[in-house]
Amino acid sequence: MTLPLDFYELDFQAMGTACSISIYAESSDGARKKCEPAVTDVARLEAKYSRYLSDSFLSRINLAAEQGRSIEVDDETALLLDYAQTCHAESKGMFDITSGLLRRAWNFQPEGQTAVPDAASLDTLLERVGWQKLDWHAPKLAFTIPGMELDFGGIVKEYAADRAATLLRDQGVAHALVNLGGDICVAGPQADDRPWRVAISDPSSPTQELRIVEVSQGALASSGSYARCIEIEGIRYGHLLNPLTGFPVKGTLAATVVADQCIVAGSLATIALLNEAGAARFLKDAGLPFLIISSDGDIDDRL
Amino acid sequence: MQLGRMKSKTLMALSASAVALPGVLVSTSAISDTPPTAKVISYRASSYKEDSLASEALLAGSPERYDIEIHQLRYSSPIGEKYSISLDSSYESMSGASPWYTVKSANGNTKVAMSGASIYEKRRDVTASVQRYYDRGNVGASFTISDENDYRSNSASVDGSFTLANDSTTLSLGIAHSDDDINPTDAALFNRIPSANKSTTSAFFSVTQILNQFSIIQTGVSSTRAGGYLTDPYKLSDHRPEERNQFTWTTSWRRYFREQRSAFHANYRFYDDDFGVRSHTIDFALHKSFSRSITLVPNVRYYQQQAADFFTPATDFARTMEFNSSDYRLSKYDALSAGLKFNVQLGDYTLVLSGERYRTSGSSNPAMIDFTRLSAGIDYTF
Repeated sequence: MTLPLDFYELDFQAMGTACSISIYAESSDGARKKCEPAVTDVARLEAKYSRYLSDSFLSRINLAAEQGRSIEVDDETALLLDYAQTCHAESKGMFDITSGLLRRAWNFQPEGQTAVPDAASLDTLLERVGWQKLDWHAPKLAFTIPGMELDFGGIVKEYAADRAATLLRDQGVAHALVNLGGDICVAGPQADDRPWRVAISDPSSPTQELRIVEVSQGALASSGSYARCIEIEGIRYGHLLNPLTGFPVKGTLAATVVADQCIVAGSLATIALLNEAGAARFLKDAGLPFLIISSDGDIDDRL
Repeated sequence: MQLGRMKSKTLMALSASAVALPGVLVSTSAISDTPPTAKVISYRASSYKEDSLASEALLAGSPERYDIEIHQLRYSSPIGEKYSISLDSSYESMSGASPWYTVKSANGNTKVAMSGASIYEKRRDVTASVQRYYDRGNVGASFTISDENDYRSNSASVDGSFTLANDSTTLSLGIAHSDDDINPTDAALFNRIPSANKSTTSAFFSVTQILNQFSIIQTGVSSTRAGGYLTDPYKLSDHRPEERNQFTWTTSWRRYFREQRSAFHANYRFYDDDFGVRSHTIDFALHKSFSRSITLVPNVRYYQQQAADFFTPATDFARTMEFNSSDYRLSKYDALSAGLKFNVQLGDYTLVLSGERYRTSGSSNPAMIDFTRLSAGIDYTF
């Protein structure tokens, strides 16, 4: 006999953001048990790829990067690097996991800086930015010049959402939704087969919902430059930086993409923003449902 | 809201790279009807070589059997958002001798007389197909012309598939018809039929079911009715019924192993016809990906057939039976084949190399063939 399924929500904090798993299960204990492998895996990935934890594997990579050495990586990291390489190629160099270094020239805290960085300081950073400056032949990653830095932002949290949904499925869960700070991947629709209703918030007032998207399969991810931004001489600068110029991207405030995989949705949303005014064109060409909000507030809703 | 009816090259590249990651699924709706999104040009060159006939089995003629060289060219392209077309053409050049008749020698062994001179033949064919895609299925039609100096065939087919609301069951069905004209060479010289016709009509139905995110099962039946001149005009004293009804049942199972990045395919096929031929085929293949771009596919196949009711090991010149044939393909035999396929993707190009060795045993006909097939090709996606 199967018991009726009830709705449970498990909230947790990981990867610097609020996370939750919405799940239909027979009991509260059952829900917790079924969520456990997924939550553990998110924690595992955070410990492995956080750039804030000094003992993370990413920090070991970045030590090699700092010293201009090479390092051998495990299979999972190799596949993430392969993925990052594909993103770099498909975005014509705009999506670049070496670009995090550029944040050193910008301070996105409120009132963090009053003038744009000077060209000379940006240039010294740009010299050490560029995927093409890495020599990547799995499993060996070689940094040809010292002082570089890798950052899996825009990849790992989305990957973690995909894995969490798969781990839930592996537990026999057919009705769950994983939400890692807005990166969403579902393991089946709601218990009555209705789609999940996901709210997309309005960048101008984040507590306000702009649109409800119905999701019964696949994933949804958003990328936005509105959450952290500064205003210098009347111009708003978002925290997403162009790896070729060192300047924040303009033109598009936020992009939401629906795809089969969260990692694909997330990187397409990020590449769209990096394309600035070409964001809509890029996502139209990609052929997936999307919603973008331009910096002057126009909404292009193709969800 | 629909997921990716048209997948761009960017999306395909990212998806392919994403699903290589452990725990990232191809799609939660494993059946999707997406038209191809890129144009593909493919070329294959293959060599098919039958082993020479053992000298003790040869009565007369050449022991050299068929060598066939095959060149295949394919072009496929999406047309708008809902259609795709493809054009396939192939050119075969064939040389060698073929079994003409068989006799029982004095010591009781069967010996084969091969066609005297080496035959040299060419065959060309071209197929045009079009496919229309819907949210839950697709329909397609194709037309083929095949031409040899002594044989011409025109065939057409329509098929369609439909995915049920559960997103995990797909039904497919199709029908096909072909009309063939046979004009044997040197008909007067060898008392062959100067010209003849045959036609074939077939229908199939199959069900594909996703069992879970790792496995798919498919089962289907097909029925074929051939009528007209079904005899081989190049064999001496070959007489076959003018109608043949064939039935097949196939079942295949695919299991994907995420961590190993491999997929296991197992297939079974049952065949039965009113000539009395009945066969069983089982084959297994393992698709193993070594990196994003390299795939190796070893496979093995076993085939077992029982003889047609009117098969005679030695040609029945006296025609003691209304129907008779000494064609080795109608005899009882087993066949075992093993092959290896290697795919490597380099940017927009995919290189394909494959080889297969096929061996038969258990036949009362010494003309039974063993062969080796080697193939190399390249696909360009743009």
